[in-house]
Amino acid sequence: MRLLVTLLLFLVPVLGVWTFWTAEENGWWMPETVTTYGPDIDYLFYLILWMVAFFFILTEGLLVWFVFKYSKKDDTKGVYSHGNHKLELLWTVVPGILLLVIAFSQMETWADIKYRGNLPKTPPIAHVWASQFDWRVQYPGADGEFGTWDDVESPHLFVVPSDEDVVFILHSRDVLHSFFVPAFRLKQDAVPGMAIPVWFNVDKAIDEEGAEDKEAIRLYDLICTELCGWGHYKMAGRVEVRSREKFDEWMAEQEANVMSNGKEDQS
Amino acid sequence: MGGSYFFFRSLFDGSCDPTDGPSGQWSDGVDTSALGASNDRPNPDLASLMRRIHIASLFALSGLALLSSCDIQAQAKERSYGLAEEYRFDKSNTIFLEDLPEGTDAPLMGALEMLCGTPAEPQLMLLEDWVDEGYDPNFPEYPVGDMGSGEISEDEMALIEEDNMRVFAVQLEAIAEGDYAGVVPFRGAPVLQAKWDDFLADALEDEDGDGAPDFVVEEDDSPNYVAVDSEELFREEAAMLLIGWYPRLVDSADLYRLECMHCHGNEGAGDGSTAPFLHPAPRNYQPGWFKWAAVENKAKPRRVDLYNILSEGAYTSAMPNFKRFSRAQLHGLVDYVRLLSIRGETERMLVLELDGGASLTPALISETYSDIWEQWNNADERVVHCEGDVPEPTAELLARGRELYMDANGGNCYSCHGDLGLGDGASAWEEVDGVSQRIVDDWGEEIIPRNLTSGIYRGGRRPIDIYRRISIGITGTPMPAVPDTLTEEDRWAIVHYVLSLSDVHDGVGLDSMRMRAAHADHSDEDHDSEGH
Repeated sequence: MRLLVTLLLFLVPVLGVWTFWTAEENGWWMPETVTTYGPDIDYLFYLILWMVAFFFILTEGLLVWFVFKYSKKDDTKGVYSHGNHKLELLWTVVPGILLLVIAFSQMETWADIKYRGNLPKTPPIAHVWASQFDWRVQYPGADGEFGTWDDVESPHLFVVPSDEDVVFILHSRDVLHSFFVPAFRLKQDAVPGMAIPVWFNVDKAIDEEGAEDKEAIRLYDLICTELCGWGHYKMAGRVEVRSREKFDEWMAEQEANVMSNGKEDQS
Repeated sequence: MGGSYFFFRSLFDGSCDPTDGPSGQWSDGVDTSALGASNDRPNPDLASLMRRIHIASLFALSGLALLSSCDIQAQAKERSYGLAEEYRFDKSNTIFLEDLPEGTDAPLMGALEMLCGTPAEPQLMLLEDWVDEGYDPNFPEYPVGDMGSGEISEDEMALIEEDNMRVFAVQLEAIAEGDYAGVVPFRGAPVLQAKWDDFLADALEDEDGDGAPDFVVEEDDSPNYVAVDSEELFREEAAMLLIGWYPRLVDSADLYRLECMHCHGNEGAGDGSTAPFLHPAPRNYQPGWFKWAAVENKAKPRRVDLYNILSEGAYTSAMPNFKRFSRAQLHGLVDYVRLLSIRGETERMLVLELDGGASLTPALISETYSDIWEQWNNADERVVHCEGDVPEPTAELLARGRELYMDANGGNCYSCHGDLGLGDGASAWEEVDGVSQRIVDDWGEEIIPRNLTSGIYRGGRRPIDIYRRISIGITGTPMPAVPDTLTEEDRWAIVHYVLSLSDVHDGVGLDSMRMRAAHADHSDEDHDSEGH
């Protein structure tokens, strides 16, 4: 019985580690990153993951071992212990230092991605509107100005050029939403009443099979990652990355569509 | 306070009557006398037994839930279309099913089933002329003359094929690698699934007994089922089966049940289970009116109109965009929505005839059906477009637009949309029995004129979309068309004026000052960097 309980408990760390170990081959892992800052995010992610993995295995191992070793025997009596001051100090100071390491190592990456002062100095390419349960992208159209009569609106699909800084402004029409493109390692809440500038730069052309083709049109999942209502699960969009040339082609098509007089209206 | 006191009391002693309970003071904190009243607590053995029963019943319940969920699947297959209880033709003319002569519902159901099939097997009946012409709307991807309706052009089919290659990428890869068992099931495409299963089973048969599959499939009458006699040919044909896939009505009915039925209902009457919670209400296809079409008021929409609303959604209503579906699936849904609309309208028209004393003869049925079809097939002739190009919004044009917007004999827009475009005009309300109420649309639903400063246009925000709204009105709503006396230029003037109401540079609409500030910051920075 004692051994059985211990083994059952031991399953927790084993299954925990197994989940991570096999995640990639089961398709549970994150897609390969394609943005300039993706590797920095991954570095931080793995730094924290390995720290946590080490202490998870250590503490779970100790827990299982203690359950086995100190489970109740009939002839021994419990000992009252006030604890060990040095040990307490150790397991307070060590995590404290680790937390400081994490805090300081992420500062630069955070500042790079999120600080408005570090925003690339390019005009915004689009306004992205989140609403229940829809992503809608508004491009400035032929006159280059937002909010005018010739704006191009694209539901679901956010088309962007590759190999350059893309800045867009994120809005919400109703409740909290969050813009998340896993392959970009980009996550930003959309807050009603706020216009939040966001940027990324797709510099790698890795498609789903891992092949690289700069000329190919690549699609990445855009998902809402803030519970926003009953349809949250299907609030999905796509980010379509094209070379500058193909992006301009697409934009010209859209602009022509806006100028349609309804005669050849088969779009 | 007294009320809640007696409520709590009644929890303890089972009495709700404030007059005969033991006296206790709530202000003393715990009402001891009431607690004391409940001294007949169950004994421990009984309590534990009860707990076990509770746990057992929980298990039993979840077991039942699992069992019943298996049943639901089976029921869905037997689902049938029903008849509406009530038919509205306009505000004054409503016919109730129960008021029709007794025994009309069964023949009516039979007639409709003959015309449009059942949910498990939806199929449009062919008119005699169609058979002669080789026309069949059940197969829009085949040309007329070849038992198709030719509605899917070759260019469109090429786009569908391109999309199918993306959608079926996993299955196509498995086929190319010869891993036929690894071809994962096709979701929402039962016909394709059956076809693939048949094709594969035939190919994998081993008739010569050499222990390896023969890859021999004999030619069949059904399309996409071509004779093969080698593995290489088999792979090619198998890939073509997937790439050239166009959904049959059975496939689309399946998808409709998954994604559309909960709002639009089994018969497309806009009465799904979530419909009561939505404003605006989901579209009822039965009258054959669709709001966001590019055709004249109350005319039948074109395929592309239905396709667009599926693919773009009606922004900020509960109708989402379905761009996550493939092109083939969207076209299939258009086919199925058309079937439901034709079925619904035939039903209404027949009811109107029956109410007028006619009897349900085959001639009446097929005449009604073919009249409705004619309207659908002539949708292209009733498209609203303009001759010239979209003009630029000049100051004069905007001024003219404002004038027409405020002119009761011109656009007369202000009367509902308000003179600032906020959707608060006086005509948006009407007085009913001395009470001011919102005006209603033809579906009987309260309607709020669009706030034109919001920059949200459900039927699309391109100038031509607004032009059409102004020229056609909105089918089924109090939004009228502008008078015929208005020229094309006048209409463009209104379009540009309306669009300018949400123009961020006029200080209203798009978003807060903050966004403009962010935009201005960028322009400043640009100048700075250029300066250096």
